[in-house]
Amino acid sequence: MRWDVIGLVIGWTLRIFAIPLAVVGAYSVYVDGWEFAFKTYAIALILAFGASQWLISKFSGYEVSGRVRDREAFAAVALGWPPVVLLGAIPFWLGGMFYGPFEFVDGHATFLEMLSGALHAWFESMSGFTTTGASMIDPSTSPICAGEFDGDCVGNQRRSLLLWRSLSQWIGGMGVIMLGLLIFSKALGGGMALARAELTGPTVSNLSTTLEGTARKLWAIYIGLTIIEGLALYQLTDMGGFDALNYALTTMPSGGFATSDLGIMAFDDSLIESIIMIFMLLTCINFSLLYFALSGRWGEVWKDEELRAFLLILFVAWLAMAFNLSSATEYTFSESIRHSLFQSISISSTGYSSANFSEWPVFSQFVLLLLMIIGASAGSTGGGLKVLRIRIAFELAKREVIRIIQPRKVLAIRFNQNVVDESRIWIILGMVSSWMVLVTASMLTISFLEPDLTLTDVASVSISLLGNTGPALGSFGPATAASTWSDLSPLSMFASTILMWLGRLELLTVLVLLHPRTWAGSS
Amino acid sequence: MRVIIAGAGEVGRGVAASLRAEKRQVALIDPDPVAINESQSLDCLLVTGNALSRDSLLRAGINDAEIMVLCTNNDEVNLLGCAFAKRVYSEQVGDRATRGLTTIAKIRDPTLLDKNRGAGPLERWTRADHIVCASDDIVKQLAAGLLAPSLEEILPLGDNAWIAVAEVMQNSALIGKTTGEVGDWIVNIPSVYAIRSGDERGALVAGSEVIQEGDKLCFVARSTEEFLTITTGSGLQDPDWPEDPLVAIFGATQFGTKLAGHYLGEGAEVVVIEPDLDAANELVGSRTGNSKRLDVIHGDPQDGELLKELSIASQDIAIAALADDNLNIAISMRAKDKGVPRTGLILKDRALVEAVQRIGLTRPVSRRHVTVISILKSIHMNVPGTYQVIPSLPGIISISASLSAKAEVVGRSISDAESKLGCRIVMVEHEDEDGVTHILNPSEVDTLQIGDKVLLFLHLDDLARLEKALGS
Repeated sequence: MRWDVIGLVIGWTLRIFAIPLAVVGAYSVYVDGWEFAFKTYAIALILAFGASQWLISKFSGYEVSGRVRDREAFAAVALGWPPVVLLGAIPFWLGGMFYGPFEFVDGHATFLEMLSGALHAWFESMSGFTTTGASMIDPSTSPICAGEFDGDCVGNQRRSLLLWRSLSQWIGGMGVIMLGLLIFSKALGGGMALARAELTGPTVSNLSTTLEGTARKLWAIYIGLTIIEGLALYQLTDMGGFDALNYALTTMPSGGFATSDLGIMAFDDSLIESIIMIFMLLTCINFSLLYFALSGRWGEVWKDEELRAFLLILFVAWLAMAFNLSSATEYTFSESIRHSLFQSISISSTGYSSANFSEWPVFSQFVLLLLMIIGASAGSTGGGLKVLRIRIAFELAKREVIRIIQPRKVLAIRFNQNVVDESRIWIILGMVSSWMVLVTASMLTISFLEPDLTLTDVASVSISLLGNTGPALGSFGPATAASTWSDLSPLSMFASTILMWLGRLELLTVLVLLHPRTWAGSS
Repeated sequence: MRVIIAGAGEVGRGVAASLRAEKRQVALIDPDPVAINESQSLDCLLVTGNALSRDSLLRAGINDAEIMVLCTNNDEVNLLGCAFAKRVYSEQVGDRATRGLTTIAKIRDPTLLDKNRGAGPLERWTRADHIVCASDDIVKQLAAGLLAPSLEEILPLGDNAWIAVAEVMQNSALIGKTTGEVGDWIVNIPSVYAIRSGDERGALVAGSEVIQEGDKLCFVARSTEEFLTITTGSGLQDPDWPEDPLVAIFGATQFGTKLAGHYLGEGAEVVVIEPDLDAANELVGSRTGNSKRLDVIHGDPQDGELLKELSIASQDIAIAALADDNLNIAISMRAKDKGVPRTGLILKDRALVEAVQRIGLTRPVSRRHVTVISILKSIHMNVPGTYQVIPSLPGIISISASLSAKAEVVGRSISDAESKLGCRIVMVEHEDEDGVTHILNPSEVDTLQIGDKVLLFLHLDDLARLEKALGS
């Protein structure tokens, strides 16, 4: 194991991570005053700066320019995430979003509640950085909403903490380590392997001659679209500046954290939904294609088979759900069209809800579950297994059927007119089968730990967590989510965070850690 | 003025032999003494040396050359050789623009010509005036030949015409008739332009020759439907051409792939059998491999079980396009035995083509022979248009040419022009005042005009005279 690589990756990642945290800290000084800002953000900032400084100074003397093997890069990325999530959780714990040491000292919380608060903060932070969007905030977990409180629990949280929560999704969406690559890609020979380990989807497009150039372009698109969405929401709708900023920060990474309990539903505004829908759709598209579109290379955009397949799936799902909703619910035709469209896009992306889809007919819920599994395009910030993988797995199944009939027929699996290399097919197959194993394992675990849950709850929660979707079906649906995730037992909660971590890094990056050779010497 | 040929392989020697038949001076360069030895009978200047050696070019007489043909086995040498020959020529003659030297490079790899995937257009930067890659011609010739397998020869003549040579059978209605009255006896049969009786050389017809059994008649067909009248008239019979043919191609070689592309373009269902998995994968991964009507099978083409599995007997066409000549012969013979009505094969060796033709079971095409003709076509490019050698009528060639103001036949009638040029004019392409091109039979033309394009048959010996008369 190349500890120097891991040390440097974590060191640089924490240094990058500290910058937005410091910005939020400064904002907190402005809105909450010195005392709150200091007790909430100082420890996390000091730890982040201190640890990064120590790691970088300790390992920068090592010879890291040598080739970094895939397994080392993957392990470095996988191990880089937990420290970030841990430090990111500290403000939630210390700032009073969940029961923390200050509530314990003041006598407002028991020691056990304080420990639970730490787990809730860890869950919230993991849900944020992995862009899942499942939240722990509810009257049972948050001291602000404790007692006779009957209002908007999320909406009453400190603004700086809500901003940090949204920002954690924004940073996690593109990859906190990817941001680090902008700086240290030249120092590490395994830059491409690091990017592969963190970016979603099976490919890393070469938009530039250097990885740094590619990262720069991807980040420029990401930042640009976030600004445009924020401005559009603020200027064109009745949404306030803070909400507009937060929704922009959580839409682009396909996150889904909201600034109120009801989220988008609270606005009940079709213009807001439309704007968010457009940007959610963009987050489901491979960012390289967005770059091509911005460069005027529309031909390459339309030729992309994954995009066309994704849009077709979305279109069919939309129509099927619209028809189902208008015939089987009290929705009017236009409401059916509106909600089914919003939800079909959202479930592949952020997980926002314009309606309580857990009360929809079974057919529509099933379509949403399928969309949750399929997810968005590779190279986007959306979740799920990705259309490309599903398509290749489907083609592979077709090929095997044909081979039974014509054993000697030579068949190639194509994507965008090009033949997909057998080694890549195996990686995709490995990912899909790992996903199936993990979904099954997590369903078994959650159903064992949570005997009160239904089959729909267990299945959709496992799929939602591994796909980083956020809301699930059944009692984990949008309107009731805030009261349900916190009902999970501590063990289920911790298992859920592991699933989110696995899902965000597309399973294999984390599973690499389980292999003994990953930990073997560097020889 | 001489022609220098670099590469004394079968192609180089073939080109040299044809040019010698036209009484041109030829110099052959090759580093292999064995190849040089085998070229002794050609009556050429033989130089043992390299195409990329100044000394060799000087010894071959580059300063007196008008054409340099590079047909070594190496595509890169052939391309580089063009630039080098022009360089040496300009140094020797002082002609900086090197207008006096035409360079022709033969290449084997057609992907080099591709503008996107290869290095094309090669003429732009290699200083080669003509690049000859015969693979398209080979495919065209084989595909044309399989349209009517009972005909002795079918050669493409431009895009919409074919030279068809038929042997007159015992039951032919034409026996005893003269070549001029063929049209009176068989409705819609094209005119006869050349004839070969027994072992004689081919001859242009005057209209008075009496047709005998065993004679070979040369027609020009303007549509594939005319093949039927030619075969019927000659007493031959072919199976009907199926609407969506089933085609089996053995070998995913360059030619196998091109043939597959050709037949897929015609709407056929194609199966390619390839023994090498990498080659099979390459075809599947190519643009051609994207077709849903193509099946690529990895297996031994001689495996009887596999052939049975593929229902070889139900195929309409079977073509052997592997790299091994003997294997190709064996496979196509076997397909014929299984009852495939049209079988063809691609061979390297010209001698084997004659042997297979003598057996008469299948349609062979020699890669080298077609390459030689393609090179000759380029050599005669100063008579712009099509140049075609007709192997079954030795001594007769077909050529097309546009008439410039310098041409001596402008303003003359067809019969005058024919006697002046010593040829038979087969058809005339005439552009009217509105810019519309009409393809006319000679009988429909009063006088030849500037800009007309004539397609004619002539004796090889008369080629130089014809070029002169056409003002080239």
